[in-house]
Amino acid sequence: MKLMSSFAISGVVVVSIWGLAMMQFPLMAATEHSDKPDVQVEAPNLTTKQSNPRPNTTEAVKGVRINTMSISGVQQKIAIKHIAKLWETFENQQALNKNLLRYPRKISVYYQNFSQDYQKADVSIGYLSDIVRSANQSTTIKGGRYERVLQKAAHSNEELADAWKKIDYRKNLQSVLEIHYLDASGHPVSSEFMVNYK
Amino acid sequence: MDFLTYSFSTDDIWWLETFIDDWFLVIALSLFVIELIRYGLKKTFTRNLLGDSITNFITLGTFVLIVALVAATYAGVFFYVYDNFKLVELPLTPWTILCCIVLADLAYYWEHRFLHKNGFAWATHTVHHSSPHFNISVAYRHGPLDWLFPLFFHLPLAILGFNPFIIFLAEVVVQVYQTLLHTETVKKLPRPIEAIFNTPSHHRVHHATNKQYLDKNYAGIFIVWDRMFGTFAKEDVKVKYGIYPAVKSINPVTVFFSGYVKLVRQMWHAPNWRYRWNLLIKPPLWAWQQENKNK
Repeated sequence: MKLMSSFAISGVVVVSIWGLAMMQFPLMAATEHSDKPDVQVEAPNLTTKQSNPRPNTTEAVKGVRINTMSISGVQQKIAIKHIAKLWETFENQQALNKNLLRYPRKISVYYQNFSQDYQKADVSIGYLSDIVRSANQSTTIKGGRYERVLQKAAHSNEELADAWKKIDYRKNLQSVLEIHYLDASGHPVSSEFMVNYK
Repeated sequence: MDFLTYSFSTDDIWWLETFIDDWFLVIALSLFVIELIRYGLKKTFTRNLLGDSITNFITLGTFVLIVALVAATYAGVFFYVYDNFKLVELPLTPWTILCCIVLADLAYYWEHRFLHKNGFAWATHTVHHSSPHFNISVAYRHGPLDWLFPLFFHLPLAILGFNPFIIFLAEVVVQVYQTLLHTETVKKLPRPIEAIFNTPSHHRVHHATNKQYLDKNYAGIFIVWDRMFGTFAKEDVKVKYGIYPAVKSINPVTVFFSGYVKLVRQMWHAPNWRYRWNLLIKPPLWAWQQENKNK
């Protein structure tokens, strides 16, 4: 076969395989889209549960498997609305940044041990411990099945704040995990928001 | 099929790549011991074979040292292109990894074909082909610039939106698969496998000096690329391994630099600058034909 024809066929193969890889976007969007009404319709449904029982539609929510991991940074029992203060403390951790073994690609924020009214929690902000030399102040993120409230994408602060409203507080909330992904220069480029119920 | 769209973290991908890299070397060394035993049983074990194999591992060590020096820059180029020029951001899922492996394999095919068709690139790749033997240690016989050329052929994957960690993983998978093909122990595999995948038989053809086998079977994992692009040849006569003219040395320094020493010599004795330029960009066959014309 002539070289030019081979290049052309290679181009077709590349576009086809790339197209197959991109097919995930509509699939994921459809999943995300279908998640919303599932959660929303359940609330009114509860009031009529006895007269019109329906299966728990949140079962259909897509989950993501998270491995147990450890993060190093800062941790504090804090009112969730004051999280900005903890971020400030984290950003001022000069020693932590000096102990980084390589450029971090993500920052994890882990909320656990919520107060009864869900206004306070033990919050940890940090890098994965395996990229921090002599990591102290580390928190273990419990592995398991998490429900993704916000897909990995660029989200505004408002969207992240709104994600808290999408949590199903009638379930037994165990923890919330926010992951902020960074570019090569350390600027956040995308984030995702996941919830783990007991 | 839900598992195909489960999200990984970059740390998971990095862990998987390191795991494959580390453990595969152990597996490859074990297979090499089996091959040595086979050579012994067939009474074909020679001092030259032993020296050649040791040289192969010394070139690997030297290559690893060079890679350690350039790894940060190599990875940095991928991350720079990915962060600044990516068309989309593909998710870190098993499905993306599968797609990336197929495309990385196609990139490998073209890179490999380029290595055989460009004088400057052949000067590093000739080291890999210069062994007169064919066993798993030959897979580790590297030239000094073997790390450079994959960059240009795999970088477009970062523009297509594959995360560099996934690209590096795909490169490792293709390399690991390729490594396993360097053996005479496996004759032919079942026909459906020989039809789709690259096999030891197909790769023996690639390492041959037999005229009908020259510049054939460039594939990494899928031999379908060679079948599609007209560079396939089936193994049907006994293969003679090596390059022409042979290096005839088991000195690791001589072997490691043999390609570039030869290229520099050819350029030194070149009649003019046009000839020198052609030595760098034309296939090694062109240089051989010119030398024969002048004899």
